[in-house]
Amino acid sequence: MQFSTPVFYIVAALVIIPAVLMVMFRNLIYSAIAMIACFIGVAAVFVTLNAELLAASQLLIYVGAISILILFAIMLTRSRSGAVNLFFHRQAWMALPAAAALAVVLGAVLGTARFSAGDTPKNPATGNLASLLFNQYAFPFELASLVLLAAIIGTVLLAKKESRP
Amino acid sequence: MQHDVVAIVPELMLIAAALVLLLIDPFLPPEGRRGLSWLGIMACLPAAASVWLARSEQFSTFSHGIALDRFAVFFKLLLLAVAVLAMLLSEKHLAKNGRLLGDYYALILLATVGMMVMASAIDLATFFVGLELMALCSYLLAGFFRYRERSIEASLKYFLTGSFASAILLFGMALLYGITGSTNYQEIGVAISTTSLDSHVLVIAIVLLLGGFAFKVAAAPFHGWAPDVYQGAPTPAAAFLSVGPKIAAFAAIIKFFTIMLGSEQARWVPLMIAVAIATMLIGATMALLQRDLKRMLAFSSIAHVGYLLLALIAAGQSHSNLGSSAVLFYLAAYAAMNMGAFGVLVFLANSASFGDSLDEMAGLARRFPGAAGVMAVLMFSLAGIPPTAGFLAKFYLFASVVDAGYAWLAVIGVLFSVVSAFYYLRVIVYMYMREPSAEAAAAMEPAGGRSWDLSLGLGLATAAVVILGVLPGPILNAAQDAVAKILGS
Repeated sequence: MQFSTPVFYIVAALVIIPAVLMVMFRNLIYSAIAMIACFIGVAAVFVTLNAELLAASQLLIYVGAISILILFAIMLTRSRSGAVNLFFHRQAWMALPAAAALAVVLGAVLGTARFSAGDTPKNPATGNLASLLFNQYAFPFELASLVLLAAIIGTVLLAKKESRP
Repeated sequence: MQHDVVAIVPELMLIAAALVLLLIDPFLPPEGRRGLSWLGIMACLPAAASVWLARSEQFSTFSHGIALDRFAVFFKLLLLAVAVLAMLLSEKHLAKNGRLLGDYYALILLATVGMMVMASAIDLATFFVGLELMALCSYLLAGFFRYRERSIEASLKYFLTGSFASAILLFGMALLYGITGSTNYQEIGVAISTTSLDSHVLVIAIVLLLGGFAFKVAAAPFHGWAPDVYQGAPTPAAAFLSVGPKIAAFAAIIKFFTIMLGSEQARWVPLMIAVAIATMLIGATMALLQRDLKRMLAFSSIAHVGYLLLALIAAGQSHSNLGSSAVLFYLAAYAAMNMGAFGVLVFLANSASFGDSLDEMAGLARRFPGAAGVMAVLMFSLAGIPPTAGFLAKFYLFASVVDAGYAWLAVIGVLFSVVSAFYYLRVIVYMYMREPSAEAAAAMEPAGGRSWDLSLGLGLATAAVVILGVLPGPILNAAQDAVAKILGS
């Protein structure tokens, strides 16, 4: 299924506007909800690229699981209500022109770029994805489990209750 | 198939040891955790042996995802040595601060696995997963003393800047994939040098890659995190973080910029010259202003990264292997002297109430003559004074820069190196020629027992500095061999 350019712009707006809102909101709950909207937008991007499996897993894992976890984490920590002060705040005005300049340059170059990876239409059928993942990219795929293990160790290390020395 | 496994046996050994550490740690009483570091060290030794046994192999495996070649062997051995040193330095310090946990050693081992994958990867996907594994463990090591505000601050800063750096790097890698249609280093290199690609996108990709790597190795203007992280992290972890990730990142930089972007050196050399000069300038001048020794060492490591970037420019410009092999030798020397210098700070923090400030070094030679002597050797080496490893490393490095036709860059490098001698020698002056103030003297009274692990680690680092300075031949040959037989170029 081919999607037209206007559809892409609508979907892109669905990603970018919530992403900006998420950074701007001072209330963590609002930020979390904006983030969920952003995740849904990313799933829509995958749909326009015909990557249905990625879209489904994006919805299941990010929108379904991770968002709920983050909402729970906010609920269980002290800072669930009230505005949170931004740190790094003093440099915000310098970041704006830098980010704008970067956006202009990237937009100008990438908007007209020709990507050879896009020339050959890849078939992102689930079976092909699986054979890529378990053949060519088996090693990084397995290695990713160690990244998750390190993340789990970190969670326990940072969150476990223990008496101070 | 049997080849595939040969290439990752050392990694598998470290992973197994990390899992064992995690499993047995909860069942041990606090005093039983002494010696856990030796479990980690004992995993590194057979891993190093298996790397050594496969040293003459030359093949790529896992669908051309990782290479086993002399280059990988050199870096894996160096990284394993760094991991062993880091574990030797740590135990007493962790115990003194009530954080002697098996998790610490498991994190060091997993970070080392990530670094070894980064050094041997020849595929963007494999490289990136290795990078993330290393990075995640690094953030956690920085925040390991989590009840200290400084440590948590270090961890958070490292995490935020590091995630952005990873994202920028990933963006650059995605663009490379986009214009070449491959994730394999060699195929990307062939595509770039033989087909006419969209050169604007290529330039953007180069800028993003350079920016991301500059973050990872703390090169200007993306160096800001380094002093805060090294200051806040537990000192033995800072020793590891200031060396390991840089070695792995430089291994990847050499591969990225010679195998993939070797034909595009006209585009990236000017950029790298600017980054290198800025890095040396900021590192050398800011280190002059520091009174905190960990911050001083952080800025000094930034200056060293600047010198290393000079050799990369030489590697890109000339067709000889001098530049790349100078990087390898310099990394080995840097690893020994930097870990040793941080190790002395660990020793002082263990033995007395020591706050890492320069003023507390006054009169140290009388109170801790051994530590002061070791520190003096290491400072001489960091300053690049013969007959230490630091001198020869700088000598080869600047020689390669001159050989590539950049005599003016070498002159700038030597000038900054002279400036940097001031803050290294200042430490020696304080230790040997200054009288301590009364309260500083009271605070620095020796207290507490010795740690043989730490003494062994310091001894090994110092010995390496001296041996590399007097007998550089074997390591230098290994470095040249590693660069000559790099797979895929």
